[in-house]
Amino acid sequence: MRFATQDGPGIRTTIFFKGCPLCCAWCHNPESQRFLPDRVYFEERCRHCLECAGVCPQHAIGEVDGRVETSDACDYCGTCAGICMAEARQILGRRYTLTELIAEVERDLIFFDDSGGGVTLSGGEPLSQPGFVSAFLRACKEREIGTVIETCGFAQAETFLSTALLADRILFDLKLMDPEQHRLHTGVRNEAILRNLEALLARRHAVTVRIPVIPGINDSEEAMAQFAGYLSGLPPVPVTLLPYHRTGIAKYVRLGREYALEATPQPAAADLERFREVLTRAGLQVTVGG
Amino acid sequence: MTERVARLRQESLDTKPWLSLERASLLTAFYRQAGPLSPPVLRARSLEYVLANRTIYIGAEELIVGERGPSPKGTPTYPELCCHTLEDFEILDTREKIAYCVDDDARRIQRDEVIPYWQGRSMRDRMFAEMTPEWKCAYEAGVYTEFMEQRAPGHTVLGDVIYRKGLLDLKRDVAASIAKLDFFNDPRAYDKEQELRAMAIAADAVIRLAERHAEKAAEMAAAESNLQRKAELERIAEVCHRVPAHAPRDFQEALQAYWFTHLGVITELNTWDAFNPGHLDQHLYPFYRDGLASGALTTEAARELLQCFWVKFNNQPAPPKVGVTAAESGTYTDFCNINTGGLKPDGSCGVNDLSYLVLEVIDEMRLLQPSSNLQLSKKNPERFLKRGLEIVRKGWGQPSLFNADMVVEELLRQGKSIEDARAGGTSGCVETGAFGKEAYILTGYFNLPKVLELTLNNGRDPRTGKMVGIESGDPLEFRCYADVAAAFRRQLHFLVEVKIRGNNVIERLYSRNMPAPYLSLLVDDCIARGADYNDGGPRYNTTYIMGVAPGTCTDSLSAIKYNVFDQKSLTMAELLAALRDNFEGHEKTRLMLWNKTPKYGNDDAYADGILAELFDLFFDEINGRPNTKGGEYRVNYLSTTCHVYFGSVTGATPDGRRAGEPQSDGISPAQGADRKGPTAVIQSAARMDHARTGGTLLNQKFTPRLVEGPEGIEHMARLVRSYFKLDGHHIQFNVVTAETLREAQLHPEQHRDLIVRVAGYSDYFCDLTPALQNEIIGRTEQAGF
Repeated sequence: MRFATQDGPGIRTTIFFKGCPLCCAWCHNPESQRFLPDRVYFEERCRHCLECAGVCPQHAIGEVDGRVETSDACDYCGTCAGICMAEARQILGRRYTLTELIAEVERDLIFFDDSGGGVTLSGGEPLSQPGFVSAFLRACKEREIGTVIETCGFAQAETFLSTALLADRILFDLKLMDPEQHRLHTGVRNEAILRNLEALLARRHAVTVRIPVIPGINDSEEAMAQFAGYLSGLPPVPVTLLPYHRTGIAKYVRLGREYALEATPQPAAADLERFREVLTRAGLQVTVGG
Repeated sequence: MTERVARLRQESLDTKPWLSLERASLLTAFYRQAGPLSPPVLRARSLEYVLANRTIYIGAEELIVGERGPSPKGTPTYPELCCHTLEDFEILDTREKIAYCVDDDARRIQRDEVIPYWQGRSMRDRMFAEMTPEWKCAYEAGVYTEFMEQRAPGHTVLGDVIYRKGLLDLKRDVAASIAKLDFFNDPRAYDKEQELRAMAIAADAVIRLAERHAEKAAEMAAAESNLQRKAELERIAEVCHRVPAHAPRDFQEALQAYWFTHLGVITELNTWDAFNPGHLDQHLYPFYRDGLASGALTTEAARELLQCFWVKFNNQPAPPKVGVTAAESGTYTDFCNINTGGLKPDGSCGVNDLSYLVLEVIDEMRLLQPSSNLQLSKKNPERFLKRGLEIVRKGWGQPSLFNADMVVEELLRQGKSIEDARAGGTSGCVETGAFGKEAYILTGYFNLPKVLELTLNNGRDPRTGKMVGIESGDPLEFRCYADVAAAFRRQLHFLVEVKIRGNNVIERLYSRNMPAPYLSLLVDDCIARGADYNDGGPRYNTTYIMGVAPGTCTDSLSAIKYNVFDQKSLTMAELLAALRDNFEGHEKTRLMLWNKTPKYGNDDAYADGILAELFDLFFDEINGRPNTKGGEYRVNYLSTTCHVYFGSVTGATPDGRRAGEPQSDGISPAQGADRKGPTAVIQSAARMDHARTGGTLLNQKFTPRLVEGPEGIEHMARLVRSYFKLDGHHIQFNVVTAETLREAQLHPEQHRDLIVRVAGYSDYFCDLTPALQNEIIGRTEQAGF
């Protein structure tokens, strides 16, 4: 995505890597969770011509009660998306060679140069593809393109460190401090994540810790105190609170998936402020939003 | 803003534009009794008569004085150019938008005095009588418009002359030029003498106008009991007695000198884009600096004077147009566009303390007129750009942003000297000119998609069935895209020549019958050459034809090339049938053309390559052709609101646009065609060779959320600087309103390019669910400035 302005300094191009080892219920990029392509369906654009059904090699598409439905037989070949002139059906995710990706990124070089911007590797989890990401980061460095990685931190320790250190800044997500709670809400425990964060900070690498604030999940007094206690014991690191928002819901609908946090509200400004205060009192430098 | 300014501003906003027949009545009376005078002297004497007999108005609390009409918003007519019918008056009085109040007296004067004399004699009548059948046919089909149909050539900007010289000084220059005339060897000596005598008469006429204001102010001062106002009126009398006869000595005199100059120009003729002080901050700076140094002026006093000056512009709505001309640019805006910043003639940075004060005035006044722009050079500081962007972000459309270094390059390419180029800038919408030295006349918008439509119909206009173009070949016989391009080129060549033949006749009609001796005094080198502004007197004489909708035209050519010849997903016959049926029953085809075809505005080499070819075609056809004034034809790309009119007369186009829908504006991508964000639009727009134009116009839309906070300003600043590094000419940010978003909900296809900031990220508005769209509309209303 070009002209991304929220994930790091200046004007940036953000690359979304597909596939993530976590499965957070609040994820606002659900289309990047799977390591394989995804299929999206924009119902409002669909003209119900059913040409897609006619061309589908797997016969996976049909109309049920006036709705165009796709069965599990779909193998994401994209034939339907090609035939759909209304662009109601699309396949998300494609393979890029290193050369292709660099060419794509270099299109906005002039904007990076002028704004101090660059490339943000997001996802999904970019560090789940360490080989490609390392090569890409090196290529960016050669071309004097600034790089930022957004990561959940869940990766094998050695490859994580050697790859992450190639980027100019790491935006490191912390979801929960309690390992069991972490497993409950994201699918994995967090010991490896914390070790990776500590290793990065020990190397004095530029890191920002980002905490998504999810009402009812990690905004209790206890959870806040745990964050404050842990982070204040680390080498100094700036912290950003990212208030949960519900704008990703539309994506779940298009992907044909359930949204688990249907009842969760956006955090109140007062609650965010309290969170910020708790962390600030622990001596941390905190900003809200992003 | 002071209470005085607030009241004057409010009065300007509250007063409805109304038609004043005073000028028309005086002019007609003068013409009826005028003896056999040469055209320039006749024009100068008519100006003298009007200014000597018109109403003089000085409003309560005003510091800068003088109106075009008898009081604010009183708008004169120019029957010598275009004589309105009584039906026109009825439409002006009653139409919903851009109405002008017309009272019974005005109707009576028009019926009994004006129409009987001017009908058949106006420039409009004379012009149409001289145009060829081909010209009329293409004009009626909407292939082009004709600017001189209802207004006179103007399109120019004042340099620094009035701040150095009074009209008495200029009269001395005129006398010196007359003394040098060689009646033995110069066959035009007599013509020159008549023109120069006319200039001297016009100078006296405007001096007399100022004197009459001085007398009126003195009278009012004598009767004034409020001591402060009495002193102000006495000062006004002193100022009007001094300028513009003599060069101004201080800040107030400089502003008043310009204002009388402005009134002189826009009373003499109804010049396009009114008139314009150009680099106001640079011209006024010495007066400002010296006033502050001597203690005679304070920043606050300067601000108030500037604001009073601003109100003056807003008090003068554009004289009303009718018919097609109203459709192509129906607005009260008279296109006076003040330049701030840029470069000095010596090449150094032109931003000074007064530039910032002018920006504050623009911000506080928030008026339709004068329009304002930043001339941004790489030498100008970030603070200047960011201060301008803070105003841009408020979303009322000003100021626009220009690449001052590119303006210099464009002017140099056209053969101007480096000093003249740096003293230049932009006026009207985006037009490049050498201020104070050039007549750069816009002659008409040119409908590029219509040329393609004619090409696809072998010269015939499908809307009317008339043969408008030439037989450029049966499209069913086209074997490859090159055949399409070649037929398009033949069609374009024919239609451009029809337009230019007309232009060259109209130029002569103006030079013979409608000289502008007062304007000629102000533009170098009319005095030295003894030649009129409308007859090659200026140092530079440029004639422009404006390409409209390169976006729509590029996408349409791309659609043919890609779908018919490369992918072969559609035959030419199928395409023509879909266009003929306005896509009814061909929705799948339309969606393919709309969604699955490379489009300009996406940093896509396929489409942008076609844009570059189209640019060359139009450029090669027009650039460098001689006009009748010793100058040359050039191209520029702007559409004002003409892309809407042109869209209304153009059928369905191969890009998937339906018949009658607006075309793309300026050099912006077609509405909804750009889907990769602003950096991709900028890269595409930069594929156009701006250096070979006299101006291009690029609009970018943002919602307030996307540009909020210091980061928002920073991102806009970086986009601007980057576009200008890529040699872009102009960019304007439209911060969209909730109303636009609602419109986008209803017609998503037209707004596929609309980016909104959702939360931690930005997205295309039309890709959001209705619920989320509504939420963003709600937010936008809250954030509405």
